[in-house]
Amino acid sequence: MSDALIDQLSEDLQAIKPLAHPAKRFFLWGGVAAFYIIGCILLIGVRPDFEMILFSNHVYIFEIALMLIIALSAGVGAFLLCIPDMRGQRWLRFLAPTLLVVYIIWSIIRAQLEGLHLQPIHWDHCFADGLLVGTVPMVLLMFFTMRGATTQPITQAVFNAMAVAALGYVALRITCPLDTVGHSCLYHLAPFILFGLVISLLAKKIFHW
Amino acid sequence: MTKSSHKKTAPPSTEIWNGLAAKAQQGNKIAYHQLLSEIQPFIRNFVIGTLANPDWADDLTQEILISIHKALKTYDPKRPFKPWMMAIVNFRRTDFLRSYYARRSHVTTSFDEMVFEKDFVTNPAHAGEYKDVESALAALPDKQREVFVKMKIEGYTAEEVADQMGMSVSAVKVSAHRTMKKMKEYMQ
Repeated sequence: MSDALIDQLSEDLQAIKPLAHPAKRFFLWGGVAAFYIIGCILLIGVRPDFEMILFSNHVYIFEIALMLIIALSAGVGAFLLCIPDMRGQRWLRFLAPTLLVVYIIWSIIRAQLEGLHLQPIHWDHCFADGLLVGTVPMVLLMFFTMRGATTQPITQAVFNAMAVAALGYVALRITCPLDTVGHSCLYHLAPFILFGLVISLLAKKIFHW
Repeated sequence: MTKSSHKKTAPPSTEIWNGLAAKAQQGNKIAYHQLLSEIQPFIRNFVIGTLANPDWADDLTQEILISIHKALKTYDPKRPFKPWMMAIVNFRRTDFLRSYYARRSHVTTSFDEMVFEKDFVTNPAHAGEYKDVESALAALPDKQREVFVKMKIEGYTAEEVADQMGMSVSAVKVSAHRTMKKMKEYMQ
């Protein structure tokens, strides 16, 4: 039975172009996503105090830098995850989640020191902006990663969501003038958590191959 | 060749697979046929040892071969083929077992097709077929037999048997190993 299958598979074989290196694919996605997100930021409008806060508030700079590193590591991780053996870079599965834990701990400490200061009035605004910023990069990332053959569909979904969430978070921190922990952690991340939940629940179907 | 250097060197066949997979990506059907023919028994032997029912091995091996075919574009010719293939093997094996147990096929059976009968040594219809094993077991000392039966037939772990019989875990393992050897000699 296997011999017949081998004969059939060999017969069906056609020349295949191997997938490009994950880093190359990441930079292609990252470039398009960055271009789109910059467009969204310009459309939504940069926060009025952006220049001042960028050069004076170290907490803000740390937050943005941490999120960009999470986006980078989760993005590269997502492109490696869609290859069965991750090209030997299995350690990258731990980098983005570790950095996310750093962010969570750092936010908890900030919440302890500064308080949460939830302001529900901005919910709709930031949620809608988050959806605008995140949808295209997410669809693109799904398209790119579905071309691979992941052996870890749920991790793949989580990394995809994490990469887009981190980029979207940065965008919202540039457009929204509210710096409170409660607002930025909950309202800025809410659309991406929603994305992540949906695609994680459907991961086995989405990344089925 | 020292033991350590032997471990580091990949078997020649797996190095050949790298080249064959690279040629397969270029559309070489002969190389691909050779690759699939060489990995098929390897995969089958690997999965058969990890499945509760050896009858599943052929189905699973075929699923894995199809998956390798589908995922061939993700293989990097500059990298070894075996880790890439093994990632797919493990994924498909887990998937296979998960869906099997999700269907609860292991705890249900049809009254029309009593297929479970053939899997059980205790089925009286097959009692005579196991007389060699039974006589080999009967020839063992009581304690040795008890350890062997608990571990190899009833499925207790070495730790559980050690607890039940008041022996050390290593003594249980040694006993089971020696009994297995004795049984093999007896059966030959």
